[in-house]
Amino acid sequence: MRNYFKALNISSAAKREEIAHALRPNSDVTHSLSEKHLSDAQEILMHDKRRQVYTNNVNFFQTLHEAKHCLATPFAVDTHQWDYRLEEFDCSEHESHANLSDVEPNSDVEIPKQL
Amino acid sequence: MVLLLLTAAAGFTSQPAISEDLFEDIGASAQIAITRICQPLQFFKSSQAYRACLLQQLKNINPSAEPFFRQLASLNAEQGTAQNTAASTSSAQTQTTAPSESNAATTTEPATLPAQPSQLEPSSTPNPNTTNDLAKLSTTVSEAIAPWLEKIPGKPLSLVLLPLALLILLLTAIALRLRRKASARKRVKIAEAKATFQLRPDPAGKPAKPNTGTATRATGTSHQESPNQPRHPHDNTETTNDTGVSTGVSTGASKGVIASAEAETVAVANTTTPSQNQVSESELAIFETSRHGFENWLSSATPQRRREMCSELFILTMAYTDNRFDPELKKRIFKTKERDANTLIKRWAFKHDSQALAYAIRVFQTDTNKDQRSQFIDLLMALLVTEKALTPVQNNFLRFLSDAFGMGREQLERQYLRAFGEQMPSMPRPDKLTWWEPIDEETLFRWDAQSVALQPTKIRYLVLLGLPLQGKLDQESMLANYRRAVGRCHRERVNQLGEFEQELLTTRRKQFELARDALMEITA
Repeated sequence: MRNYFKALNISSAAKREEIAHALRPNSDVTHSLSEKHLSDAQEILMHDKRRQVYTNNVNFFQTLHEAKHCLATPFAVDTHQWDYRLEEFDCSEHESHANLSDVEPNSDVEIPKQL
Repeated sequence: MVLLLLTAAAGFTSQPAISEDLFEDIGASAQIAITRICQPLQFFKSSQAYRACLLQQLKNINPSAEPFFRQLASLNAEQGTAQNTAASTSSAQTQTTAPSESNAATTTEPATLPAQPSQLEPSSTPNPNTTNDLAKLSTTVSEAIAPWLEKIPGKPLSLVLLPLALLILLLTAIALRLRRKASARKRVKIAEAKATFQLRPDPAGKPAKPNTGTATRATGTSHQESPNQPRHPHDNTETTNDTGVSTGVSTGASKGVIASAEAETVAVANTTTPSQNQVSESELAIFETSRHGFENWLSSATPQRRREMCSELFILTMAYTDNRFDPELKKRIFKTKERDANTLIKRWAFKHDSQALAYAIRVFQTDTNKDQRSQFIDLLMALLVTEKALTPVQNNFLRFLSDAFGMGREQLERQYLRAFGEQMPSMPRPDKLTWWEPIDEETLFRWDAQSVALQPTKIRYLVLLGLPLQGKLDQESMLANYRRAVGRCHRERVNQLGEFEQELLTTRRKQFELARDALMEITA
């Protein structure tokens, strides 16, 4: 799956206006997408319901990318070519992909003293 | 009564493949004697297998009886075969010591045993001594058999009681069914009532109505829904503000709706989340600062509890990634100072903590067997997937887990087919416009759990059972979908897991039952 957010250099929590700005012709970032992919990105990201579903999958694939080492164990199999599917979802250089912009994490939680 | 029925049934079905040699050995006289003793059992009188069984049972119950038969056979061999008349005499004496059922049946004997005398025609003149011996032996034999006759299944008494027992069972089943229906109607009415009227929370901070799934609880200065309290999936209009004062009926805005999309599925987990009593204070500490917080948190947990916590993380992750939660709940989870297990796991799930997910997968890889992992996939499907509404995230998640669990694509798709009666949709490609073309608005709506949660009860139930949202509701289709949904929720389907997972299915099943009952009333 293509990660349009990464290609457009925007967050998966980006608002519609920000996405539209990134998708505008002659944008600095659209050159990283083929014409076909850019067309698809516009149709998907500018459609609210589609964008929501797509964003959910992007967030989930980012989680899976970090957890995919679980597939390298003798217990596991790889019948879906996860390396290929998840290759665009490495977000290690970014902050957490979870959208916590709508919450205010409690700062005064206890630090565990005992594991 | 049931015991009697079972006994009778066992008797009817217990015609064994026992050798009849013993019966053949004892000689014609004893055969007649046995046959006459068995006279009351009209339906068995011609069964050689039954007589063999009778003798075998007699041997088992009263081993002392067998020598009499052996002696009888020996006498026959030495002094010739006994005459039919001698046998009749001995059997006549037998009647005096046999149970009353035998006496009652004596009058029918000529008609019921027409072939026996001719088959046992003697070849020599009877010896009076032998006749007397035979008579004594038959009497002794009948005495030996008499106690066992009391245990013979299919006795006339049983035959009389059998229809009566069946009738009573039938009436009981009807009564139970009626009671269950009445109870279901009552539940629907209660649910509807709750959707209309706000339950005011107990100022003392205790649940307003314990164990009803509608409890609210004060936490510090704020009044918040307790993550450990079970919550009814349809209490979606119950709202409270931060001062603990009930705000009354929701206007439908997402802010006021507590039940939310999560209620449909994730609330299931809330009902049986291990309580604080099961978790030590140290376990409840927050591990958020650690990259491996979830793993550290569970490091001292028992294997069973660790698996349960991992199960819950999977369930919540799958639900939350699809936005199956109340936005207000998410805010509260990160605002509250509660440190119970349920709150902590919700935080990890909301944060899409990949390390927590990876650890949960490792736990399942190492602490569970193949059947358990397979059953957990069934559990996820039953709890979170609704018919005609497998979301792309659910699809991907199930496929990833199936690989991580060592099952692979084929087994997953077989399990999906068994659960939903249709092929599992192929791997989603929401990045391609062509993939979106067959996706209609109704499907998008079914995927949007938060929007579904805001709909009237009927719509939510239709979605829950995967029924068409428009047009007349077909009762047969509804019942078919209901049966399939309930079939996914049989506790046996997760019998390799634990009580925790089985309770999740039971709660989920009740949601389907509620939907069925409500839709039945609509279609009635």
